[in-house]
Amino acid sequence: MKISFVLNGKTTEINTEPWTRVIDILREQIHLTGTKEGCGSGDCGACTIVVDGESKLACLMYAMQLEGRNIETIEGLKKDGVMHPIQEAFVDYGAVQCGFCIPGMIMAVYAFLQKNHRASRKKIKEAISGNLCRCTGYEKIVDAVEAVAKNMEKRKKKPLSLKMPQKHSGINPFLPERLDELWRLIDGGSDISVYAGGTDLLVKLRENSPSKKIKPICLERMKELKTVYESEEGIFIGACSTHSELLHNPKIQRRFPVLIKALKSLGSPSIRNMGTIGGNICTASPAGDTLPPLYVLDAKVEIRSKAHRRLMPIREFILGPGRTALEKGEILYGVWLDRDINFNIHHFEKIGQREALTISIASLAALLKLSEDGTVEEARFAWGSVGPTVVRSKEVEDGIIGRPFNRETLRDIVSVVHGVISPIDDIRSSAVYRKKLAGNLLFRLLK
Amino acid sequence: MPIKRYMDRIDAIEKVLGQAKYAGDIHIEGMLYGVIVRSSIPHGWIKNIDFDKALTYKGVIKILTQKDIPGENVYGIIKKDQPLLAKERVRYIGEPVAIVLGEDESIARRASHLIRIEYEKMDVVSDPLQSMNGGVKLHDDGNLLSHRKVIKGDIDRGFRESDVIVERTYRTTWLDHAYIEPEAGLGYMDEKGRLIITSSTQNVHYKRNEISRLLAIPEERIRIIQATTGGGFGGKLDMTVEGYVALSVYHTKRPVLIRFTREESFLSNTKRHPLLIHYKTGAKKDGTIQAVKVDVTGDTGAYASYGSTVCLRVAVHATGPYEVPNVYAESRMLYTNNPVSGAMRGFGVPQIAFAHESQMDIMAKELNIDPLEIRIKNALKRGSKTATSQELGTSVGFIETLKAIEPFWKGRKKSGTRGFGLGSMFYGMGNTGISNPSSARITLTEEGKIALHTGACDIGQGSDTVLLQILCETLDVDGKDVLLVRADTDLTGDAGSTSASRQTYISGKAVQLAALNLRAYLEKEGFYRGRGISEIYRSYRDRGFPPFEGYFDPPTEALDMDTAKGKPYATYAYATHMAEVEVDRITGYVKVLRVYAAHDVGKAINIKNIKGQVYGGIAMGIGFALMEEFIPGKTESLDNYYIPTSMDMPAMEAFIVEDEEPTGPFGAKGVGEPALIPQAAAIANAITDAVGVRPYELPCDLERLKKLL
Ligand SMILES: Cc1cc2nc3c(=O)[nH]c(=O)nc-3n(C[C@H](O)[C@H](O)[C@H](O)COP(=O)(O)OP(=O)(O)OC[C@H]3O[C@@H](n4cnc5c(N)ncnc54)[C@H](O)[C@@H]3O)c2cc1C
Ligand code: FES
Ligand code: FES
Repeated sequence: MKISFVLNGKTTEINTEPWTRVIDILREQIHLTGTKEGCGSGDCGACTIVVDGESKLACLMYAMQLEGRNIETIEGLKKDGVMHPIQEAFVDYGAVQCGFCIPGMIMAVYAFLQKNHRASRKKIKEAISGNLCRCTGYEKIVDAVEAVAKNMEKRKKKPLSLKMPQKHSGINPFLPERLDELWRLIDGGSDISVYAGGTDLLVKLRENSPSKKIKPICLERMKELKTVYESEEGIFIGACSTHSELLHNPKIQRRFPVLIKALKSLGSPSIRNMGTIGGNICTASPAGDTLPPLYVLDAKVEIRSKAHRRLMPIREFILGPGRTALEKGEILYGVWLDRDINFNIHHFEKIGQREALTISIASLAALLKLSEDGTVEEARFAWGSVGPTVVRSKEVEDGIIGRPFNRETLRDIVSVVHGVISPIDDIRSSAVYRKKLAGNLLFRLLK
Repeated sequence: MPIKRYMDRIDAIEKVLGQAKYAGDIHIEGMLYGVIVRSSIPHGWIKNIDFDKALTYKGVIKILTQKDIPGENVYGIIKKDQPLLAKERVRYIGEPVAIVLGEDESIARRASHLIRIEYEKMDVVSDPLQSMNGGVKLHDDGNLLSHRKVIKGDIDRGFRESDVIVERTYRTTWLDHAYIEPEAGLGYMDEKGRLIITSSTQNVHYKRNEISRLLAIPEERIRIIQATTGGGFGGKLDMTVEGYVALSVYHTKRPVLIRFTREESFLSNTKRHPLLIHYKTGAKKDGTIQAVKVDVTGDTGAYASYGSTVCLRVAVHATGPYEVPNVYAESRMLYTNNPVSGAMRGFGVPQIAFAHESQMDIMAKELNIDPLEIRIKNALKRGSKTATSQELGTSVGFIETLKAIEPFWKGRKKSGTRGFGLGSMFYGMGNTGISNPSSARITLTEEGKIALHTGACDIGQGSDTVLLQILCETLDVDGKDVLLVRADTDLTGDAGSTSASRQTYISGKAVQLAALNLRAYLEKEGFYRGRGISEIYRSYRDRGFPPFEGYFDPPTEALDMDTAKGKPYATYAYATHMAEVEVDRITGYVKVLRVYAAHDVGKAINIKNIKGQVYGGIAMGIGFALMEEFIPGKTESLDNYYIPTSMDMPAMEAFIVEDEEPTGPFGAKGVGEPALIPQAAAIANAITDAVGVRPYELPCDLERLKKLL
């Protein structure tokens, strides 16, 4: 299949199988080997490239997703024989050791600095938190970026002007843009699978080392699935909205701080630029970070097929680890949230072994409405990673209503919590620890 | 006198541009790709291998097994006990059994899944203590790879004369190097039929030697070149892909690339040795350490790799950087059916430092002495005798590292669940009690350059730059006058491995000596009076290109087999780190807030490089202390094996102490491993300071700490 895109400012056309990984296209087909592969599973960031101004991971993208995009790789940063200021600073500050992480690191920084002109050390560390470096301890990398950012503040930002290639409209049948196109595709076969950001599916396909090749349809261009709007029914979030899009959406920021807090802790910047809320829901992992907030927000999911549309509460949609109520021919269309959520406390905390790129050992989302004298009027709690699915308990929530919100009340509630959750042992921690944690996390609400 | 010839890293520009060629970046038309088929069980006889489906898979060129090895099917850097491809028996999960060669990588990979290996399972021994008791015999000469003792003074009298005795047990686990570049190598046959291999490696000459034996071809027919290498930390010292590449090229006569996926890297590369350490310390009331008795049991896994080195190094460093009159340190390394453990930054010393530094703090507390004071009181200094009874003559800047940290230590303010901890270390430069020379050669070029030929592998630590700086400094020339020819068995002499923090010290000295030879020549030829190299080149050529060579083997003495008395290293590096942490009592989460690190490097040749090493070492130390744990069968990808991200890093400051080492180039020693060694210990002590409980097992992850709280 022919795919065209802009690569480092030049219109490029390649002929490839649509499900070839982008990293393989760049390295093996175009022989741009600056983009490195350190893991192939989204965990190291060595393959970071910039797609339409956002950092993404070339190991978790298929070639067809390049169509019509503006792609920048490390090879494109030096222009007219002059290194990019980021590259210069990396050299000057001694930020480079073995260098294997460096191209990905620089691309992550490049994307970050285009959008952030005032960058604190903390923000810089966040921006590169998906890029592992084993040599430098990151210190001089951060020094270098800080120096570039200072200089950029002084300079005026030049808007990107790019000639985009002519789109091959309708040529790529696996990258539908409208519902009717999608239904035509899905109708076609029985064994059709879909993906959105690919940050779960491509990792899974890799683990299975498939001897038979799966050819999923990509939903990332589905306009209807990327909108966020408000109507009588509530606030609609399209399933293919990426975590980054939601994080920056003022509506979501204003109304659902609990969801924003969870999104902030999810993966790394590139994972958030790729991963979607729909993907997070459909993966139905007990560790899915958006799930506890969606449970406490009493989210409903909208499911569509060619023939029908149905709505159901998220708790009914998720059946178990990796299992949902989706049937053949159906997709997750989006999520509905109540417009008038009225709680004074929006709380989310995720416990993991490190500060970024961490899968939760346990998490707690909570919404609380307190009266003026500090009595609990309404409470919702949802725990992630402590059972086969997210746990919400009426017993716990009812048990706290009408009581003063203090340590003593929470202490009483903890024993109820221990009764309703039954975590398991896994690589990350034991059931005993998780159970203890689930209860103890409530005390954070007192802060 | 400071080093005048400062240089930015010479490789930085090509790296930031994405132009540096790592082995996996090299492409040769028509090359094949190799994938290794590995054992899925820890111990068993191979009954049958069914290749039929894989062989008929479209695009598969050849499948190789042990039968195809023309020479000796055994390798090992110290003891040759590891088959390249399993003979009739496998001894760990991940042991290579066959190589599938395909027209492209995915073909080879898919075909490799079609191979069925039938085993007859054997009993498995996964605990070194169990291994010690026999039962399952892993190798013909038994399960005990190595057993070493370091004895000084009279240990019983030492404890009798002690007022306080502290006795504890410490445990550490497997760690993975987790360099971001997985192992890779490319090989081909040149027009003359010589075998050329370019790989990601920490040594080239050793690998040539192994391949020569495996293929039964003379070394002259083999050339090994180091590609740009994306980190090593000890994991690229052993043969990684080289043997497989060599065998594949030998049989197909085509170029072959083998690069491991991250998962293969986890399965195949050697790990840090898990150690079980019983430690007993006796001290006088005033804090003077009287006696140290240490008993270490290590797990080398299925094969030796660097097991015996680690065994000895741990015993030699058991006391830490302190003068102890009575020492009895015993260390054993046992075979098991676990992953092979090998060299990893510090060769066992980071583990033992965790123990000796915890002991130091416990003792300080028992005696109500400040942790910094007790370290200063017992510190090694000039004239001190180490546990191997070596008298330290020169370059012992340990107390200076403590003094550099002192203002921060004295200024610390404890509050809530914040705590502070110290960690100190000493580390012998180079290999232990054996000759480990390096050589360097300098030539002049027609274009008027001075070319340094060195076999030293720069794996990211920056030796290329440092060696050139030493060259320039000695010759009093500029960076633009010199060029580097490095790590290529055809063009450079043996510089030994990039390990044991030895390249700046040993290869640096060899370069300095070679440069001094050249300098004398250049002086005669009028270079310093303005005659150019191009011109001098002509008379140099007329004389038949006399080489300017340097050779340095640090003066060491072999250690006594029973007591380890002797001079294992010519010199030692010293360091002290201080960590500030905050502990979350609810979860057991530890956040490292700030680290100060002071290192006696002898002489700083390149301050930026040193600081880079120190910060990187701190990162690895945080991983070791808090989150890294390789669990066979479980944490075999970067998704589960956590290394610190940028957000896990504290504020850091590095201080350089210079107590010059007369045998080193301009007084320099090494810093690569010292940078890591004391960090985990400092964190463990800080945790105890913060919340009053002490971790005896690393990593002190959330759950382990929460259990203690
Ligand atoms: C390095 C890394 C770190 C990560 N960290 C976190 C983390 O901290 N927290 C966390 O929760 N997750 C994490 N994840 C998992 C993942 O990023 C998220 O779950 C993400 O939201 C998935 O979205 P996606 O669009 O990429 O999913 P995809 O991979 O595209 O899809 C996932 C699954 O959902 C199905 N699907 C997707 N969209 C639809 C739809 N609209 N209709 C029907 N089916 C659909 C697909 O068929 C597939 O089975 C991480 C992943 C990686 C690789
Ligand atoms: S290769 Fe590691 S994230 Fe893509
Ligand atoms: S410089 Fe080596 S991994 Fe970053």
